[in-house]
Amino acid sequence: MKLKIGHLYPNQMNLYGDKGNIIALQKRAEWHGLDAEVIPLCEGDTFLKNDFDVLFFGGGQDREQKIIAEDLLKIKKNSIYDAVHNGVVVLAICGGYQLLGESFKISECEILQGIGIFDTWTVASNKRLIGNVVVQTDLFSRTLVGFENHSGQTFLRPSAKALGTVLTGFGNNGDDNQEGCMTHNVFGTYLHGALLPKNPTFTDHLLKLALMRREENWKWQPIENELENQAHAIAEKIAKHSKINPVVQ
Amino acid sequence: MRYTLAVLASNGSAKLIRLLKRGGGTSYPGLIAQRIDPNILSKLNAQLKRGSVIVTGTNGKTTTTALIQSILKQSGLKVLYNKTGANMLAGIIVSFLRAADALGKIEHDAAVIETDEGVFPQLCQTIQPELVVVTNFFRDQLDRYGELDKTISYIRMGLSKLPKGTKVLLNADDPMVVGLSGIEGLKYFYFGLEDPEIAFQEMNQTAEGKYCPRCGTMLGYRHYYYSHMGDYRCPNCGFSRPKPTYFSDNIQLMGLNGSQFQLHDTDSKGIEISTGLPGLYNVYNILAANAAGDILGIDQKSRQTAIKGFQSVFGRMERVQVQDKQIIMALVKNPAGWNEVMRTLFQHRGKYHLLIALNDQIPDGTDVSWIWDADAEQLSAVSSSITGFTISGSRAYDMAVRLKYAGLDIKAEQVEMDITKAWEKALEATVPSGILVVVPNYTAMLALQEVMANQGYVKPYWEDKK
Repeated sequence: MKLKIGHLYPNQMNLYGDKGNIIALQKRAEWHGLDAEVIPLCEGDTFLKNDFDVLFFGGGQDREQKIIAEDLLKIKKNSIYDAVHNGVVVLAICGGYQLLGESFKISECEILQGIGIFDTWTVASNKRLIGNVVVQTDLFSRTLVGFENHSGQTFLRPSAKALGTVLTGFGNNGDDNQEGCMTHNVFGTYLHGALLPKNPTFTDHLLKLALMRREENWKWQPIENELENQAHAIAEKIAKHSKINPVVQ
Repeated sequence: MRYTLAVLASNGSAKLIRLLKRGGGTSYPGLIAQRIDPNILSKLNAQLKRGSVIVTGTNGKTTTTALIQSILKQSGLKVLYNKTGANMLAGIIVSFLRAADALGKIEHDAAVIETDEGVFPQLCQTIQPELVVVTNFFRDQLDRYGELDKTISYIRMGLSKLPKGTKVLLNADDPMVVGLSGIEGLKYFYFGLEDPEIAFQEMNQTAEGKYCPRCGTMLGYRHYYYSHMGDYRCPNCGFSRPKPTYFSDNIQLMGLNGSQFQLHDTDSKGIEISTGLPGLYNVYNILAANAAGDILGIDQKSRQTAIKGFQSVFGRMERVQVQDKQIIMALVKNPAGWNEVMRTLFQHRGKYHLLIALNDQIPDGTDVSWIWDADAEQLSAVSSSITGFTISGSRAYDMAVRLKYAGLDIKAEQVEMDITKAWEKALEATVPSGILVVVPNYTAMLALQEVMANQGYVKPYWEDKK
């Protein structure tokens, strides 16, 4: 059985080792006994609701976000909505997460419109939130570990559900202790590091959601996770001992 | 009075730090001196007869700085420089203070200063350099400055503070560096490669600089040398690679053994260079240093002699003999550096043990996610040359996961977080008369240097070879 992974805007949205998430999805799918194929989705490309099992949308600088924002809104919005309502798994990091929300106010005179999958909005700040993060989600008992680096502060409407609670670090905005957002099978977060390689529980959670949608017979091969588990444990430990202050720019 | 007090206090604290064996004292005394006399650096710099050269950019700063220093020294000038890569303001002050006598008087002719990008604006305001050299821009330590665009804006800010007519030497092959030439009133010079034979037709890695720094359109490339270095042109506004006055061609890369190439400058006849410094990135470093020397009026013979006699600096493809084994230490701190060091290793025919050490201290960048942008997949293609791995540092397991996901067979037994133990383990695992390649990031390299110094294989890094 073949898992198809769509990589949104790989040329622009690939900051801070985001490629690691694609590598982790592909490798772990293969190690679990599946075939996996990664297909780039660039400017101008559209797709159908069953074309992909997983979509990945990475981060970018403001400059790159501006370049792709129009294509996202005019060309890909409908494809992404159809896929989301069809249960396709989506993971969006940092800049990708911001643009899946309603809007990103870059400055007083510039607002990028998002596609509103998440009931969130983001405002740029002169404080940059940088550092190790540990997040507790209710998806599974293990924490999520990663590294955040964003000047945008994201706020959730009452209708939105956070991905988890911040144990260490800033999260969405540094104020409400929340990190990320989730709806349907769509997950948005500020965590990179890359996120998936050292959070194998989350990677497998995403892969399982993708397979459940397909309702085909498959045999899930277990994977040895010693190195990943150690990397996770050490990231947790380092985060607890690190001092964090926003960097004012 | 304030100035003399600052000099005395700083010298005293440096001695104390070394006495207490707390390292080289290459930064802290500078902080003390600056606290006592905020104008100390401009006072020190004003005494130089030929002024200073500032070297900045992401990669190649340390080697380029050391090369320029050698060239100036070869021509008979007395030169000070921040040899140990202490490139924050405090470290720069210490380098000047070391050159000064007990009362703060400097007899030197010139200074060559490697500068961290974040410090560049402040430094440009404090001292007015004769020449600024910008090597390249790659993603690096984004946890400190946020985004690469931010880093570039610091350089832009610094350059725009310089007096009209200040000379600026830029890498013609890096569109983001050339984007700086929009600042008016400065005198620009360019260096670059002119050798399509060794270029690639496609960008082979995650890179930036795909967009025109003037109008934001995607750049078209005729070819790439590595990452986003190459021959580019904007299809929209016509921004393109300037033809460099200083260039290299006929380049032959010989793996770890170095390279040979032709170096061209304002003299009509090129110079044949044969160097033990390996890798294409060192061709760039030599090119930049030779150009800087020419711009500063140093004769071709001195430049050539200095380049030929130049040995690797402190951890930059440095070679050390330990018992019957050859150690090659190559500092790697970002994806571009990783990819180029690996490309050099792959050209090497022969087997070696590989020790990789990844720390996440502040000087390294606390964010290690760059390892996922590095092309570790290349390693699995040459795994037959690698007799074994040892993986170390505070983020050793992150590196181990990276290599596992690149398709290498990595086991927990190959991980040893403690750097001293990892060094011993790797040395032990290296076959008799074999090669041990050590690839650390910054603080891991300092730790390894210390271990090797304690075992008597290298001098402590703060001891100058004079």
